[in-house]
Amino acid sequence: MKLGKKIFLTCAGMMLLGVASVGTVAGGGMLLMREIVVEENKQLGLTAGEISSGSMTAQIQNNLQSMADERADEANDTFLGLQCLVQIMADETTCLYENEEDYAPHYVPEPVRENAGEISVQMLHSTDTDMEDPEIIREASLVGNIDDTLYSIHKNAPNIAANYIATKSGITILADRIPDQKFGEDGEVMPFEASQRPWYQGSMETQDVYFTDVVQDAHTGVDAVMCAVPFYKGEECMGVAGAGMYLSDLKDVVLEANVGKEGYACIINRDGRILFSSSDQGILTMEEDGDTPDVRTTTDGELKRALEAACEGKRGVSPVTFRDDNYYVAYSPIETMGWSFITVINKDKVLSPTVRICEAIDETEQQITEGIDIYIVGIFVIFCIMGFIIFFLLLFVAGWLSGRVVKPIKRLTKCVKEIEGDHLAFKWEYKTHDETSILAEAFMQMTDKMRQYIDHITKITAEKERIGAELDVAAKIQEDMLPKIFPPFPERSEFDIYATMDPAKEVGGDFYDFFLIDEDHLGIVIADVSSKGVPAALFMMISKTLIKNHAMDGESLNDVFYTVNNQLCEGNEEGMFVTAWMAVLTISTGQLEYINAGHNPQLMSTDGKFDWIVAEPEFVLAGIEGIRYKSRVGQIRHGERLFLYTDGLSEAQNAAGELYGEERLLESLNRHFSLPLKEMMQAVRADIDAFVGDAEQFDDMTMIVLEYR
Amino acid sequence: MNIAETRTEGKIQLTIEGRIDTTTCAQLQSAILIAFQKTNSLILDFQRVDYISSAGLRALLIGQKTASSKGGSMHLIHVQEPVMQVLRMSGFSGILNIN
Repeated sequence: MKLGKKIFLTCAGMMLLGVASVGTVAGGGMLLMREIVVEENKQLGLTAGEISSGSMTAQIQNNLQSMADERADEANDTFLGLQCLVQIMADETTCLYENEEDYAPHYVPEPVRENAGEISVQMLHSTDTDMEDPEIIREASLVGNIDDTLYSIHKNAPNIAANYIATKSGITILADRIPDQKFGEDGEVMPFEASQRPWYQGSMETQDVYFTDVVQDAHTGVDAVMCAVPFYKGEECMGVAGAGMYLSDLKDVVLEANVGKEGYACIINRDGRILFSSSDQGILTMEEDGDTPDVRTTTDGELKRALEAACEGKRGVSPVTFRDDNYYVAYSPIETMGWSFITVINKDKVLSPTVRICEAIDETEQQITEGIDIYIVGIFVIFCIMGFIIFFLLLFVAGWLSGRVVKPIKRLTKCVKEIEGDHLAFKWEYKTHDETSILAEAFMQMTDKMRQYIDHITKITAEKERIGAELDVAAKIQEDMLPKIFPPFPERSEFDIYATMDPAKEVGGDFYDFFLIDEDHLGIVIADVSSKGVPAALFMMISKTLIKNHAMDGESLNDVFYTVNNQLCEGNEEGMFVTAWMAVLTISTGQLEYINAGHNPQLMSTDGKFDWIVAEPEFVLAGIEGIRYKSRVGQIRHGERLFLYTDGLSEAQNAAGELYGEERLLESLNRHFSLPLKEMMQAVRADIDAFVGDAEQFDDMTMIVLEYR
Repeated sequence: MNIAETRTEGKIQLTIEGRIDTTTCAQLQSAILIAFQKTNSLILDFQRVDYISSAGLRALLIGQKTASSKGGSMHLIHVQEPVMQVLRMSGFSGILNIN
């Protein structure tokens, strides 16, 4: 994968990861937030509903109870007021009876038809009462003194229909505005049987304050309640004072009872009968005919318990269910009458606002949830779009970034590719101030070094080539100096010579030489300079020249070596030396005079078998000045051969480090003795090469063979 | 090739170990020359030398010449047969002090 692509993919991947992480976190956060908000809203709705419903319920119950209490008190006050007035009348009458002597006789007239509409005090009597009886007249005259009291009470208490006193003797003195209704069809005043009245009977029976149930007024038929209180003369009960109060006012109190919009009120008496009700539907309503049954007979348990409590004069508030509707019923006693004031309210209706609030909260909650959902979707869409835009922007940036990173590298690669062959000029002109610059500088330094190195190598190679060429020339000169045209003396049939020199380096230190000193003497030399290369070659040339020159001068071998040694020693600071073996053959006789200056022993054949020429070696040439050398004299027979060599042959090594050795050389020579000179030497060389194998040739190999015919 | 130097009573003994050939002769030569800067009496122990080339002979020749010019001496001891053969063959046995 290319670097640019790698960088691009890495950047893009990281960016994508970043966007995805942010997206995930944001999305997760939003969803979490939504959950929380929805949950909180739901909780809020529930709480609000509960609070609302709870407080409403409590409030309603309180209101209902306090309304019942208030109205009951109001009614009670009304009846207490009535009782109080009747008590005043009774006390006044008692006072009349007990202080009869203090009052003048005051006779109250019978009703006068024309007085209708005005407050008038009238006297009525029972049919059984004899109005002619003086006792009756006397009592009537006494109680007549109550007329002012009756009048003023009636005048000041507008809700009183009539107020009266009725004596045991059947005399009734009453105040009302309807004297005209006291007359019968016959035009006579109707008798009034007070003792037949419930109020009279009740009060006489109890000898105490007595309230009647709701009764219809004797004269008007209007609903009324009578209150009666007995009066006395001493211990003797003389009659009953009473007052009738129209209940239209009380009814108004009930009917006006404003028990919220949905509530209503009623009064029941101690027997559970409904006296008034402001509602004509629901529970506790009046029957149309006004004849209401005992409400406690209801089958509804809750209602029954509540009404029983009410009838017992308790106060309280209870939830009841009636015909699938839920109500609250509050009751408060009207103590004077033993009645109960009841307020009723439809719970469902009164709580409907709360329900509506809850529903509204639910709805709001729903709306909020939907709003949040829409918002989240919106955010998500925006996020997607943003993410998309950012992603492409990031792709572009990543591409640009990777391009920016890769561009210098590409440029560098291009510049590096331009380095080719001899063109080593690496140029970097771009300042990127990053690693590529460092790399480029390193490249620049490297190419500079390479160029220097190549220049150096070129110079050295040139030098080496020059030296090599010179060495080649030297080797050629050296080679040329050695006689190498065979047969060298074709006109001489008495002997034949063959020689080779194979230097280990370009120029060797070995040399051989042969020359006719005169017609009968053949000089033959083999030598080895104690080093290699050019110095050895130079030394070799001097040695060869000196030996030949001195030998050609006809000097004795001893003198030749003595002189050459001394001459070579001159200025030989390097300590070089030459081992040399030289012989002079007297061609006519086969006499062989030879001398050995530190050289290895040479070989000569006898009857076709080579053997070592015994010669005590003298010291090398060029070693120490003034050495005297001593030659020896031997004899070579016709058909025999003389073989001279340097230690390069016997000391040739194979890969195992073994030396070829004199024994192998001797054996090889004897084996190939029958061959002509050249072939024999080639065969010996082939044997040595076979022994050496792949090992390197360390030393020059020089051989020279002479056959004496 | 290894050369170990030991001094005894103004003499220096170089104990040579290995082959003395073209590649190692320079080492021997410098060791001999350095030794002669410190002493006039040098002993070369050839106990562990099994081969000497003509280049090695040159180092010995230079050593011998140095000894002669300084009026000192250079002795070879414990020379083994293969080396002795070379010394004999090259005539060096005639000019070197071999014990």
